Amino acid sequence: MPELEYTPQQALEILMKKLGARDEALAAQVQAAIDAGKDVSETEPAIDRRKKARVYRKTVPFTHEEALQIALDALQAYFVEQPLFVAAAADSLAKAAIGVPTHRRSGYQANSEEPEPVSLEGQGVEKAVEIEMQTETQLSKTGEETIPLKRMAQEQIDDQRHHIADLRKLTNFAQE
Amino acid sequence: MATLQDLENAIDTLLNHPLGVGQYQLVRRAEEKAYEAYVFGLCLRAARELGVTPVLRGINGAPTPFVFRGAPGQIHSRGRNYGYAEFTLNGQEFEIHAGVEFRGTSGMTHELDVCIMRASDARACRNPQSLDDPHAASLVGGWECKFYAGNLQKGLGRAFVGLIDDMGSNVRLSGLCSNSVHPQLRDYFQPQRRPHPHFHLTPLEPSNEEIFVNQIKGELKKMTAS
Repeated sequence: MPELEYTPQQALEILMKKLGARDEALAAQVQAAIDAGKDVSETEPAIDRRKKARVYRKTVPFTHEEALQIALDALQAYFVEQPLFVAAAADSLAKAAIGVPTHRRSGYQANSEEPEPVSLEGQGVEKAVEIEMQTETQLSKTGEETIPLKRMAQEQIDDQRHHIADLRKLTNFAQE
Repeated sequence: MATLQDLENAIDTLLNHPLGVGQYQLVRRAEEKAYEAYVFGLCLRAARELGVTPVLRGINGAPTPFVFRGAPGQIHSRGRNYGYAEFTLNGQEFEIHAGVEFRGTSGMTHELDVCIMRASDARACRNPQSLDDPHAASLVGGWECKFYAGNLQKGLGRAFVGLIDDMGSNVRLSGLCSNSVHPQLRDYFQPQRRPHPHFHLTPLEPSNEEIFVNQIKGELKKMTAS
């Protein structure tokens, strides 16, 4: 483990400054995660020796070292986990079949409560997946109606996992 | 000795990567929905691991593309070709949905981010002659899905406990799924019949995925055993 030539506070300030310069919204999200603080148990010694010490919960700020890890967790959620969610969903959908209705041929009635006859296609094939942006009840029409959920290259996800791991090493002051 | 310049270089490498800040700008509009799609995929996996092939359907026809709702909606809505999945296990039919509204025992409607329900009830609600919201008794399992880059909010847990309480006693599985965690919520979910805390449910924690999938498999097996 390399020794570090900077303090946790300096490291956090640099990270947040660079993040803010690139994307203010992301920096604000990360800052909010840091500013939420943490719960700790505080112990108040008993004045009377016959009584037990009183333990109570207290919300306190993270230390700079902890805040660095919270910031990296937040960045990992966007840069690593989000692409992994898409990849995992795409894998699962690919293994399912697509049901193509065949009722025009079989005389199936739309008001029937019986299962609609379908032919199965596309099992093992990547499916196109979209997320609705313009919702049914939305009166104002703005932007795209749907956006595709696109799979990212696994090598790129692995790269970012390594980059996060590298930063965790460079902000691990405990093992100096 | 690691210098300040080493740290700055490492930060730049992370942020400038194609899956860095640019990725955030792409995904932030759909981050919650991507997480729902992931949990929906885990439900498909549970069905698959029970030896059945889940079939993807669209309300208006073949789901090409497969569309996830952007907001809570009714199961019979044909505003788009919304996707869902169906599977049959031991002669019993089920459907998996995302973002569908149910009618609770109080009469109030509730959205479930991801759910497994009885297919016959779903078909009845889609029948043009009897369009309706599914009733609470048709629900087999329901999950609230929350993507968080920070700590989860306690209010989400309280709200979901209330929702599940209104879904009656037929619900076999329920849980709050998140890539994040809240230590107090874990305790809050401990009492029996409260939703299961599926915290750190993410591909980075395969053992948590296993727990989620195995719970579904176990309940479906019990439910369909003759």
